[in-house]
Amino acid sequence: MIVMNTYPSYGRLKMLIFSGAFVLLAMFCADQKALAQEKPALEYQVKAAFLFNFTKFVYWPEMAFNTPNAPFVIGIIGRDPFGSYLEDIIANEKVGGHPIMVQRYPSLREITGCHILYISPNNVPIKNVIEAYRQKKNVLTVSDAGGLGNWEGIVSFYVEENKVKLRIGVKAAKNAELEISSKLLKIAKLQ
Amino acid sequence: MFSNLKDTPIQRKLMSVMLLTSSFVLVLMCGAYLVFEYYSFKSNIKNDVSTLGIVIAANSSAALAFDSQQDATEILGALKANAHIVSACLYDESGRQFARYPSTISAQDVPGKPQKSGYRFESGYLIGYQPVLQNNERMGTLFIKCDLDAMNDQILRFLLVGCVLIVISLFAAYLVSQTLQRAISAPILALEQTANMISKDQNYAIRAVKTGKDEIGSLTDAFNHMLSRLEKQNLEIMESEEASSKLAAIVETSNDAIIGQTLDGVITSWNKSAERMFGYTADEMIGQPISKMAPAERADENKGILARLSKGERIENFETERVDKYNKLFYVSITVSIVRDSLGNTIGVSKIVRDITEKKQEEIRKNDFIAIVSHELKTPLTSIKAYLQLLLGIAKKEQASFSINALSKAEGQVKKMTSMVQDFLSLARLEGGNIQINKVPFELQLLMQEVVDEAMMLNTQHKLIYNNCGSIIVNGDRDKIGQVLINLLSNAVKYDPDGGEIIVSCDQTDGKVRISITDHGVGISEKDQASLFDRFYRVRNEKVKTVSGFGIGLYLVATIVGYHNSSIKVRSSEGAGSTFYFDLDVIGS
Repeated sequence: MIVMNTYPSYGRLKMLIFSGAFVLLAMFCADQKALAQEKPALEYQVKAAFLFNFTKFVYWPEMAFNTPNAPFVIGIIGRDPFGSYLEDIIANEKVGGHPIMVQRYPSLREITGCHILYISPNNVPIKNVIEAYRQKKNVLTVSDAGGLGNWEGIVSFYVEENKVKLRIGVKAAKNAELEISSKLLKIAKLQ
Repeated sequence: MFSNLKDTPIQRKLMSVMLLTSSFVLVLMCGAYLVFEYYSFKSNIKNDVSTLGIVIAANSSAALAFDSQQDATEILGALKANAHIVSACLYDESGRQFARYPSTISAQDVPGKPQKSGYRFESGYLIGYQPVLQNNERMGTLFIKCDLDAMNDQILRFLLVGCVLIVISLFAAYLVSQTLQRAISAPILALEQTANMISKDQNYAIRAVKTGKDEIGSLTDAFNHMLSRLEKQNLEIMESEEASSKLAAIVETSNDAIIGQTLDGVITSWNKSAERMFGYTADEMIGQPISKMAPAERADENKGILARLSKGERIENFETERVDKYNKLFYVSITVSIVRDSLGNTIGVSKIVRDITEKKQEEIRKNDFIAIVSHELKTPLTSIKAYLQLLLGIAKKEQASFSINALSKAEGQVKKMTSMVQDFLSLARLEGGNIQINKVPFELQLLMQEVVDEAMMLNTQHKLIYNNCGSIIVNGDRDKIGQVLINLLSNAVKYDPDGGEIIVSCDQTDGKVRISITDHGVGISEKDQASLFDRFYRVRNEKVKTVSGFGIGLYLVATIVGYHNSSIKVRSSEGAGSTFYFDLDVIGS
């Protein structure tokens, strides 16, 4: 309860996320547009929560931040499927003292310094982004919806048995000089 | 149990005490250890389970964060390693059940909602709620439930081992105590055996053997000491019994009646001779008043004796009369001695009574005889005296000097003889109780002068010094006192054959006058002084062998003085003369 009081929005929202996840089976194929008016589809609520949870199981070196007060940036390239939902989750949250903020990039060129880069499945040439970030340090690239060939970024979401699952490229993570908790690795499918 | 212990033999008692003590200690130790074990086990199991909980909870964070129920179930499955974990459950941050262990159980088998963090024992289980944290952020809660079978098994095992140990220890204690108790019980039993032997055989010469210097040792010493005293006392009792039986035999066979009485005059003992003498049996008399045997006119005599005894006076011997059962009066001589207890208190009187009737009658007959003889002698003497005086008168007329001399001497001898006969008569009267003392006040000086003058006339050889008494009126029988003075003066003359001073003097003090007659004659030995006033007693002395007499003079003097509330006393030493003195009551001057 104390934890929930400290992070009221987070707690409330996570509850919603999980409640959504449990009824995903029933709801997935249902009319999504009615819900999307205020909240994204349950799948994206889960994905938004996962994006935030990555901040707890992945360790960014301090050199990834310009200043001690520099924000932790979750960048979204391409169409934003979360709306303001992601902002609601990260509101008032911090990663090692760095406040979290969301930045949306319409195109590859507009990407500035970010720590998590969510590559939206639509409208963006993912392959280009991947290529661009293959050698980029300290950025956790997260791709959505599989079928991108051999390389899908460091983390990629996929859906199995109506559940959002993770696939992690261990080598890519190493290249990006990111440390991923073994606990996270344990629940993900590794490449 | 303890009441029975009182009557059990000391060996069993000692062993019981030792065994009871050791069992008590053993049970106490086992109990204490059990309690310790119980609590330490509880604390251990709590530590173990909470460690497990922390590990499982730490491993579960990612599964909760990334919604991986399969992974969570897998992690919980690791709990299988501990057979005592009954069930476990992971709750997500909102408190919803996320994964259960074992996976087969239903949602109802675990609490629907997580509760307060921590581990506690509840209804025979250890249950715990462990928060699941990642980077200090709460991800959910782990519930874990562990049975206490291990603890119960261990306690049961321990109880079993404890019981076996107690039984073995008690058996060992039994064996050891059997040996150890002998150290204490053996001397006590030996002492008891000795005591039993002594009480059975009455043999006080036996002594207990001392085995050590402990309390039993000192008990043995005290016991032996007691035995010594008992032996000694026993011996003393036997001796005194012997002595008293001897004494009793003497008392029983004595010819004299021996009678014991209390200070109140109640008879306490009565021997055979008393039975014979008084005609009463011991049974009749014991408990009766002693006055029963006194004739009516002497009823108060015993009271007087007791009164005098209680005042501390000595009454050794006196003669009196008693009556027997058949009212026959007889004369007795009674010797009184005081009976004291061991502390010296007077508790009674013992009387030895001797029948002196025969002796008394003999005396009466003798006195009668003497009286008759004296009387019969007196008549011819009076005639002889009269004729002698007649003849002396004629001789004086004729101036026949030889005849005067001879007749004067003859008259003197007649006078002497008359005086002797007079003494005998007096004696006879005294003994017969017929003496008459007629006390009248008279002037002592006149009597003294008369006696001294007469003595002077008869004796020219001695120098008589008379210290005048002055005018003193005394109370007494004038003739008898005269007889006393004549007797004393004639003795003084007789026993001073060489002729010396004879001093007659009076000393007045405190309503009394002391009359003393002192000579410077042969004196009286101390032995003779003791019997001097007895009847017919005569001093045996070479120097005064020629002195004539029957030994009744001083007896008469003593008796007469006795009738005047006084007694005749003598102060003398051999060769230095004697002083006889007595007191008379002065009633005026």
